[in-house]
Amino acid sequence: MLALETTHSWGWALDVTVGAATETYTNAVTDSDAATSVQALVDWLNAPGRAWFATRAFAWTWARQASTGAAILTLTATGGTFSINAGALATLGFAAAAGVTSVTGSAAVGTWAPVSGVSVRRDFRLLSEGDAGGNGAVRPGVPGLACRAPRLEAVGTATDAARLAAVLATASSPRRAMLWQVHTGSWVEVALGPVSRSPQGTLHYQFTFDVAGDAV
Amino acid sequence: MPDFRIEAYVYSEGPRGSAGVAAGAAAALQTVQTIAVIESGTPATTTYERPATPLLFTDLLALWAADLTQAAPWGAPAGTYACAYDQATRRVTLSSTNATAFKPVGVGFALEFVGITQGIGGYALSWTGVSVPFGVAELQGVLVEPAEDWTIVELERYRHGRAVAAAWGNHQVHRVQLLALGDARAALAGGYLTTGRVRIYQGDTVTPYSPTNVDGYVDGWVIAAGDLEVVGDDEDLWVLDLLVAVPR
Repeated sequence: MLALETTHSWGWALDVTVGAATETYTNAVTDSDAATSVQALVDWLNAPGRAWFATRAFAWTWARQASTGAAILTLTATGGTFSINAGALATLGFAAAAGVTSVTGSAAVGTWAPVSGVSVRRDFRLLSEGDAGGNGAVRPGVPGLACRAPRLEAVGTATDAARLAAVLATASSPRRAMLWQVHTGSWVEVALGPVSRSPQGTLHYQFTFDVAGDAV
Repeated sequence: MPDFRIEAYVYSEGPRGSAGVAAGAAAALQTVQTIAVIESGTPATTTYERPATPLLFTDLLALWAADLTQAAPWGAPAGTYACAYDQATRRVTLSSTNATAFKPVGVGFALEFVGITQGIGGYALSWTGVSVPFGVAELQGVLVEPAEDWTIVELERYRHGRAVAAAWGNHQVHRVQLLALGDARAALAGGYLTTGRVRIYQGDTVTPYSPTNVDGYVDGWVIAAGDLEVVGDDEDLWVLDLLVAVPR
């Protein structure tokens, strides 16, 4: 999954009700992405200050939505039910729900989940050439130019291709994205450069991304 | 219903009716959007029609018919008119619906644009173009790639491992390939379908393209066009590549 930082209005408020207690989460950032926002929401839900801290544990997952090429998010509680309003509908896709143990949203904004998944490889620091690079010399005190330079590729359908173009159109500048790396089970933040697309067989497209970390 | 088809938009900015056309006035911008009729009962009167806004080719024909039938500001012609493109015959017909004989007059290249290239002599109840119109082409096939985000991105790497990807842009593009046979090639060669704003139908779907409707029609501006090339050894089968931009 790729979660792109977009120009959508990320400053929303979500009312969460567990039993008789209702508290409001405020997402107060101006530029954000779906993965960062939902994780911040879950962190708040599980914080010791919540009225339901002792009785509820929240988590979130995502899944590909084949009809749109987007990712849909699922918010789950263990230990009982919860209710939410539609404060996060426009970004995370969560509609209002009452007395549920989980809620699955519609396509989350800025997300892209192609059929092949997103391949994130070689995500480690490499010494670079040039004046600020430390390659080939011992230079105490010089910070060096040692960017992470992962290799990012994917294969998708025509719908995935259309979704990616639509999502990129909403990107904030500078472009930043969060990528889910399956084999490490972690999120990788990158600066998202140019994207190239080429036909792959008769029904699919191959995508190659020029990315670098750590994004400013 | 549209199948594989490309249609041109015709630019117009008014004014409506005869203003700016009569007496050689140069107030109106003339493209191929202005048509006129002279009715047999009033041979000294020319009734002009010009849309106020740019229109799709088939919408232009419909507006011509609707406006020529009205009283003002078109000088109250006696006739009521119909104007339509026949997809089967690939010809445009301008006709009177109340048996009023007339003859069409094109301002500039308007009549040739809609395929009425025959000599206009006397009056008639109906005029069907003998040539294929330049504003629409029925195709053998069309390949429209999903949209690509046409954004310029500068990815710069700085010390301490930081990176910035500055991005800017205002449109997306579709790579399009048209396959044309016979008179469709003549329509493409006219130039109106390979420049400016066009609509490309990918088949029977008559709803707009979207990320969840990738088979929909694409409305955009042609920003690049290749050469009209023959396919294999068949002199009558032609292919043309276009780059169509859609603003956001």
